[in-house]
Amino acid sequence: MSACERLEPLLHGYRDGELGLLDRWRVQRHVVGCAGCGGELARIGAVSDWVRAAAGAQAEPDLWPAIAAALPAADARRRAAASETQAAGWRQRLWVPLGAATATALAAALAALVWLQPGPPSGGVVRSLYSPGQSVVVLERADHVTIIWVMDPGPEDRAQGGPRGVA
Amino acid sequence: MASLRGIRLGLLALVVAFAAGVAYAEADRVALTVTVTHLSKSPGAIDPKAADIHKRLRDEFRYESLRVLERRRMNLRLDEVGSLKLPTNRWVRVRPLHVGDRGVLIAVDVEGILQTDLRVENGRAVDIGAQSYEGGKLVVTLEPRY
Repeated sequence: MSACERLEPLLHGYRDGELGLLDRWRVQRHVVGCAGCGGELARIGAVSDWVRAAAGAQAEPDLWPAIAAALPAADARRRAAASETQAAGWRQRLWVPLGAATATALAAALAALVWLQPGPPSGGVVRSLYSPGQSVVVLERADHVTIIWVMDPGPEDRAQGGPRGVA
Repeated sequence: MASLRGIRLGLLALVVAFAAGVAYAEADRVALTVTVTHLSKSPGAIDPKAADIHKRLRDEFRYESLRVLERRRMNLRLDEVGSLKLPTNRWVRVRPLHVGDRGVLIAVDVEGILQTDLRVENGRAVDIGAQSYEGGKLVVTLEPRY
């Protein structure tokens, strides 16, 4: 058995950082000098990234730009409110900072909510996928259910539209 | 008396070492259950043997009947290939590659249709809707235990 045959099964584990010190060293040492295994390692990485991007990444709304854009306006409102406060008396002087603090707390809570949303599990079940000429749907549910569905190219399947249809 | 205690401790160490060796050896093998199920829109029953599969699929797909066509338990060494023929004469080949903290890495080949590498946790299942068959779909389910 050649070194390539011995070490090829370890490439996935190497890429995932799951190998022990010795195996990691063996693979690292081999990959440096072996174009074939080096290429395979690169392919595994590319396919895994692609699958993760296609199947795992759910578009999470990035609220920060909106929050950041709103901040100068909030500051301006607070300044305007403060100037009005000087004229209006001590009651408004109390309420405006309180409102700003509440808005800041709400923004922080919203940002925390977005950040703490349970996303797809890191490193999903499907590590690579190849289906020549056929579309594949991958469902990785939060309840640890993983379904891979190959869409047949027939007109019936296209009409069914995949999941929710039989084929 | 002291030497008797020493012997006992030595025996205990031997037993522990033996158990550890057995556990290590067992980690080199993966018990993989491969089930082929036919899911169809034709009216029929839900096979009780496919109850778990039905539980996973019912919210995602519309079908009227579910029938287990074949279930095979394979006890595979790492890198050993297990195979099973679908009713469509295509081969399904599975090969456990690596057992780690996050599950067993399995290479799966549904002949001419799909090649995939899956990392499946112990006792979890992955369902693959592989191929159309008799107005329905053949579903290949993999459940590793190690």
